[in-house]
Amino acid sequence: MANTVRVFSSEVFRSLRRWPTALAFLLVVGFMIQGLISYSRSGFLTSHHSAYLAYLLAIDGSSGYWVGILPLAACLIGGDSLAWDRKTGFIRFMLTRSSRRAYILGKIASVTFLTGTVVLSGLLLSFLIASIWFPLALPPWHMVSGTATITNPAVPPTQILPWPTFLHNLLFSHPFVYVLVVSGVVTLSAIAWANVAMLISLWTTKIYLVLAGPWLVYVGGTFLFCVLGLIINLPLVNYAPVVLSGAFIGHGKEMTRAEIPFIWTGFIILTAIVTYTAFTRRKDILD
Amino acid sequence: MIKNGDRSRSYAIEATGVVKSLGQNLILKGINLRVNYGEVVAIIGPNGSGKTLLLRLLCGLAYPDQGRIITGGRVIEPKAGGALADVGLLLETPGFLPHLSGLNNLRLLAMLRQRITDADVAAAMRQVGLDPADRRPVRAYSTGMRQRLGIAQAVMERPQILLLDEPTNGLDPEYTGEFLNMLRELRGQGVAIVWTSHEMEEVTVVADRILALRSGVLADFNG
Repeated sequence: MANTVRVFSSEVFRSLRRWPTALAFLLVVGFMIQGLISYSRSGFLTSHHSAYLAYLLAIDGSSGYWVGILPLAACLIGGDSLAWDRKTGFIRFMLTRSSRRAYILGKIASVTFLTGTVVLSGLLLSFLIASIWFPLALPPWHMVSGTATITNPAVPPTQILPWPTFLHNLLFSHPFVYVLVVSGVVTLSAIAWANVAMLISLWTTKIYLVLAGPWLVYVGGTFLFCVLGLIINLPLVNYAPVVLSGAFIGHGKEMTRAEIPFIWTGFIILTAIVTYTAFTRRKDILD
Repeated sequence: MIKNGDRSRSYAIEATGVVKSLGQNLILKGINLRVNYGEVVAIIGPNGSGKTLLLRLLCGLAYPDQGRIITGGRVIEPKAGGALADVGLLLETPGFLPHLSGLNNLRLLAMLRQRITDADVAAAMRQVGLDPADRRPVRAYSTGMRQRLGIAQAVMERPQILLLDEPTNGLDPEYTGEFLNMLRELRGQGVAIVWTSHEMEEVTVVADRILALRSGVLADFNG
């Protein structure tokens, strides 16, 4: 355990001295600001500007491109550190000072922690910017048969506007908590993609492949879910990577989708177990 | 990696009947090696003879297919955990993180054992003629500077066992003399040193024993 903590500390030390960590933070904030700018110019959902809506629409891709680059930004923070260790041979120096088990556990823990911290900080800073820029209040809304709905001139007042579809009622009862929950889910998704990058690092030391691989899975997986869903006539698209990483806020017909954080948590645990097992069992990692 | 509780201080390194293949190629065909503390053993062999592989086995970076290795009193085998506490290693051209300075590379490694301070790290760099205040990233270092940094990395935690794979590669002649003096000093302090090389001349001035690795078998160089 002590060895794992030391590997973790050294990874934090290293990550804070890497420019890609700063770049990832700038990408998060930059693309979120792009989403806020886009929101400010449109009257999407309502003509009343709201910091909550601005932030949520920037996250879910309705008014921004953030959701398109999420895995790229996430993997820059530390997802490629194992690949760098292997590529340079630095891993040999590390493994004479720590066991394989401590090394890989420390890597997984640090990538999880650092990615989570940087992405969540970037998102919360973006919300802070949104709350300075726009009124920190929900747009006008009313109740229809016990369900809250945003008042929209384009929708008859007796009809429920099914937005957001993710934890619908929470937005209206506790909007700030809602922002935190959504930010947490997006952060979980970023952590998952960084862990995928680390898994890829066990098979290749090509840094560009390690950084781009998760994004290719992200886009390719979404395409596959869309096509398969159409073929078998099931709403598989609701579980496509892009949807689960941000577009879930307004996607789908049900208005709960509370399973999404659990899907990401399960995915992270599974990826970490596969990474740990492959690293500790494969004898040729260093060959 | 290293099985605890099987300590034997009689030899710094004890390898018995070590066999190792890489893919279909049988590289080491029954290596027997014993190294005492305070002894310098040089292993001579042509490129591709398995010298580097042998050092990797001795420090637990790879595992033997057959045979047994005890390094610093610990049996090296895949199933057990733990790290080698007393081994310094320099393998081939040392690989460092290119974007970090030399000092930060060593500080990062020192954090893993937490046995030395930043001042000790800086002292190790000065010992090999590098300036710890040099903030240039390692990618700007020459091959010789990287080799020196690799030597500093290997000795900075004052290990009792030192495994050096062609450590004079890329070193300038004036520093090579200093390096050989450092090895003599370390031997005097009781450090066991295994040094591989394909240059006979440089090892004769320091080595207590010279072994030849040929066709996967280790034998006395003169034998």
